[in-house]
Amino acid sequence: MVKPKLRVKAPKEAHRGEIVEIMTLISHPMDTGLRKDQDGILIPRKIINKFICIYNGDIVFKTNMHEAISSNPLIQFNFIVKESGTLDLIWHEDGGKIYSTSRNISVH
Amino acid sequence: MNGVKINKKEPSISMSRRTLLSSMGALALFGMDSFFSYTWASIELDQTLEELLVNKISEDSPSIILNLPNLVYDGSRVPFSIEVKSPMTETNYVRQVHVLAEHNPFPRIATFHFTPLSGKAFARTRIRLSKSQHVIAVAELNDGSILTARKWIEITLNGCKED
Amino acid sequence: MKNITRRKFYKIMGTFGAVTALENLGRGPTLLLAAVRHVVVIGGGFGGATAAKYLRLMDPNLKVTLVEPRRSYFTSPFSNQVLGGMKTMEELTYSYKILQRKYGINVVHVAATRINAVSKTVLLQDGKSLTFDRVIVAPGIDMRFDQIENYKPEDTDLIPHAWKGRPATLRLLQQLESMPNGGMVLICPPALPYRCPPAPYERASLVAHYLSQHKPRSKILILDAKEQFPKQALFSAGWKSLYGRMIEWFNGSAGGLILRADAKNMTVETEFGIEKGDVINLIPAQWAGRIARDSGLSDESGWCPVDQLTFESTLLPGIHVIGDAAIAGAMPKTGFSANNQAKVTAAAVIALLKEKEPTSYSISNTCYSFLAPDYGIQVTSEYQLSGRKLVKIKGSGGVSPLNVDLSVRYSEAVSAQRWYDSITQDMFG
Repeated sequence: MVKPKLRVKAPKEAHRGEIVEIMTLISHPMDTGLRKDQDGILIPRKIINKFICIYNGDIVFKTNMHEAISSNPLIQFNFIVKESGTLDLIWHEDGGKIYSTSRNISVH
Repeated sequence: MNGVKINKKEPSISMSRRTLLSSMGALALFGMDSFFSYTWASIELDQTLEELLVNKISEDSPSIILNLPNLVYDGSRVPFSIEVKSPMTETNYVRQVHVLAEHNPFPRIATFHFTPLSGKAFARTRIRLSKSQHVIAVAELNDGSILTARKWIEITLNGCKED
Repeated sequence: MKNITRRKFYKIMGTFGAVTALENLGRGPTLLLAAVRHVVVIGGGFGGATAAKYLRLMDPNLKVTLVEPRRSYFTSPFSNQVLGGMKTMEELTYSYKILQRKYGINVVHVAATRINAVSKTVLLQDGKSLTFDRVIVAPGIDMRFDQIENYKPEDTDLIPHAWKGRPATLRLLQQLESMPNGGMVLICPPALPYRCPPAPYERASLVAHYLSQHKPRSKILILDAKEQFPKQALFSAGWKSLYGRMIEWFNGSAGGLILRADAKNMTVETEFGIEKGDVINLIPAQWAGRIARDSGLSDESGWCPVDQLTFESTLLPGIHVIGDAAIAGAMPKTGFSANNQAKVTAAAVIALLKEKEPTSYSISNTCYSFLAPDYGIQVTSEYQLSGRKLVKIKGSGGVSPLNVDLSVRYSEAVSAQRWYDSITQDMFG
């Protein structure tokens, strides 16, 4: 499979205590295990099953995902920025692979 | 935060309702112990789902805003968002929201976990729906109380055959 | 006439040529020459200009009128080269004079407003009308403003589509020239079907060519309604080697699909939020040119269903629709398709006027794309009739190979230029 592309929309700056909006997207087919390929053979299940967002070491948001999440999973959520720091975004794939990226947010 | 709390304010809990709530309570406990490895499958899921899926939950909570279209042509990418109107403080917050599709081949859609740092209990994604059905949300607050809501959606095209 | 089948009707018309004259009596002096059959061609682009010329070449006794409001024609093919600084607009502009003088085509520079299949007349903007035995409509495309929220015809000044005509292309060119180094160019292609499927990606390439020379810190973001695009592997590899990371592409479900446009604030909105551009080239969904839609030739898709043997409308008899506006089976909407369809249709129209059976045919299309001035790629396919629908001939044609020497890309760039020179000669020379 092609390496998933990660898209993140997060503010670069925020006020202290501001609730910011984070939008994420990972390009992924989210194979449910129900679909067949051209030769009629079932494509095994391979989905992104978890998404975790950590800010300066604290989990601020987490999602368990199942087959019913559409391909190219988009997740939007919010969190409170209390100080400048690093936002780590982590996607877990069936089979144990992990994809991650990070963004810095500075508080002023 | 320990133990299981059931929302005592709920009037007359039916038998099935009770089963549901105790399941959800167990779930909460389990969830706290193992934030990362938690799955629903490890508890009395089938029973819980059955309760949810046979429309036995009495009423929708006005605190849950289930945002999805009434009708879509293609069920493969249905815009979806959920918000639970609630304070989000250390002592009073929404801990998790389970989202289910009653008639999908795999009814579980997602579980969103929030923390007091979330600021608001809101999440948006896109979901697959195989046919017209209820989408159900079960929100669990930090005190163990449960809120539920459902919304009917009409689907013209099966979303589980997505290419 | 409703009870007479179309074929019977042709027969009657043919056997009793005088009927035509009688029918037309009182509509003007030309009718005294009723023995001369009159074919009106509406639209002077790749389809219409070719059709008019080939009608006269195939049957010099035919009277042919070409209705085209513009005095000169600016070709959409190769117009991306104007944006890339490789060609001037004048080099892509053609006059109708040769068609008039050399081929004896009556060129009328006025817009057609309505075609009437029953009275067999074309109404013109100036109030006059033309009577025809058959009419070929090659109206091209119009932009749709009903698919993207808050996107209006007047917005095309600020966020030009540059998908047809000189002024629109010029506006995009001026915006590219005046944007800052380090600016963001958004190119937003629509879902299929639309005119020239690979062209948005050629455009991204040639805009990148221009920017890398003059504004190298700039970026191009392609926000696509589609999940994949033609010649994708070739484009992707070429972009990487030619322009590094300047071009980034997002498919529809990855936040590429445009939901809303805001020309005043120079933003577009997708499921993945708002994107701001210094230049926004929003290429909207399209449908058949207005004359076809106004005359009842289009179906609910906005395009025109035709019998693909003759390109005669399946909705209205005696009217043929060719080029981008027609639903031509598996054929893509390209200038080359229109040019080839025009020849097939000219032959079919002449056959039908002589009440002969139109002959079956096969037809081809090639799309060349430039990734840089010396870097060309192509895709070719052949099509044939299966029943009365055009299907791709299995195993026909092909795509430029991946991973080849640059000399191959160079020779395809040369072929592309030759193709352009010969097709424009075929239309206008």
